[in-house]
Amino acid sequence: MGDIDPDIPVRFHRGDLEALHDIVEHFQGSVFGIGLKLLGTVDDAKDYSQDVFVHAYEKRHKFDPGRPFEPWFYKVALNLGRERLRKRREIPGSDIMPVEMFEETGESVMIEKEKQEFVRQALLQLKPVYRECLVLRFESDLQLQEIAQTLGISLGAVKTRLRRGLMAFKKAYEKGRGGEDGLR
Amino acid sequence: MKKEEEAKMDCDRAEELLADRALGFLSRELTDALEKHLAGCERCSVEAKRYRSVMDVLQETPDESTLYDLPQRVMAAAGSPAKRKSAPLKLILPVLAAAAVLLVMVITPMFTSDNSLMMTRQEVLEAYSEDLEFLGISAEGIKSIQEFSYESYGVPPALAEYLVQ
Repeated sequence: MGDIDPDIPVRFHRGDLEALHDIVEHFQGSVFGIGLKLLGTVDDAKDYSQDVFVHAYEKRHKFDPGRPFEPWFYKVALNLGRERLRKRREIPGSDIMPVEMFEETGESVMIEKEKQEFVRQALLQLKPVYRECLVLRFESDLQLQEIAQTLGISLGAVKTRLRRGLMAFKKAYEKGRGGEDGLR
Repeated sequence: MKKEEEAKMDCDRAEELLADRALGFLSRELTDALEKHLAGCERCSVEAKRYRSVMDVLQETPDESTLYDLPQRVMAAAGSPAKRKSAPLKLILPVLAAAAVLLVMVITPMFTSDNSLMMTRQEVLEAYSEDLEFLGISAEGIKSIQEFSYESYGVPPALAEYLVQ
């Protein structure tokens, strides 16, 4: 994923639907990745991705075309992810993955989904500030300075959150997989 | 004991450095120092492998083949009239409610009016005769009021029937 054409965010800000289309094409992979890491299922991640783009389009007047697009856009995506997680917590039991998730045939598919679920569960155990930092680092193409802009924190704080977040994630992931020997 | 503590401290520090190395933050000097520690510490060497595994898991790219229709779905949702910017419902609802109340107030008398409750033009003039006198309206003025008709001002007879006569 390279840099986006600087003209696209300007046209997006004016309400140009073609620019929105270009933005979807450019960012869909990373937004879907964030959704998958936060929400766990492909359907939820797809639904989330659609909401992120539509929501960003509706809020485009809040974007300053004189500033970089990515930090603003990912802030919208994170806020929406936060909201979805909050709603899930408000509905008891809604955070448990549906049974059909593990029922698809094919061992490799099952193992892959199981792994995704372990990743998601481990991320959910982290403090939100660590979780968001890690998700941005691994799913977006943002530089550390841009992550700092997105989260409104200093570069040093980004590094600290990433370090602590990774250490906490490792611990939670290993625990979820049945101890350190569970890691492959 | 002190040596053991120092060794433990080193391992704690090494784990921080392992995380930093995995994230790509580590300077050349610290990388060298970490490598030296790993060469002599089996526990931390195992940890280093585990960090690599965790990084692989986090860096895995999801299968994006299911996203083939996402641009179309977004365009349909963003471009549909229902999604276009309009006044928020919380602003529209009170206006609609007020309009409904007004409509009921206007329409209800048409179905429920009782002629016995209405005043004729003569009764109005009599009731307000003192006021008319106070305002200095002459008999001629009163005559013109008596001769006034809504119809002459283009008000439909069906509606004029419900106005003050």
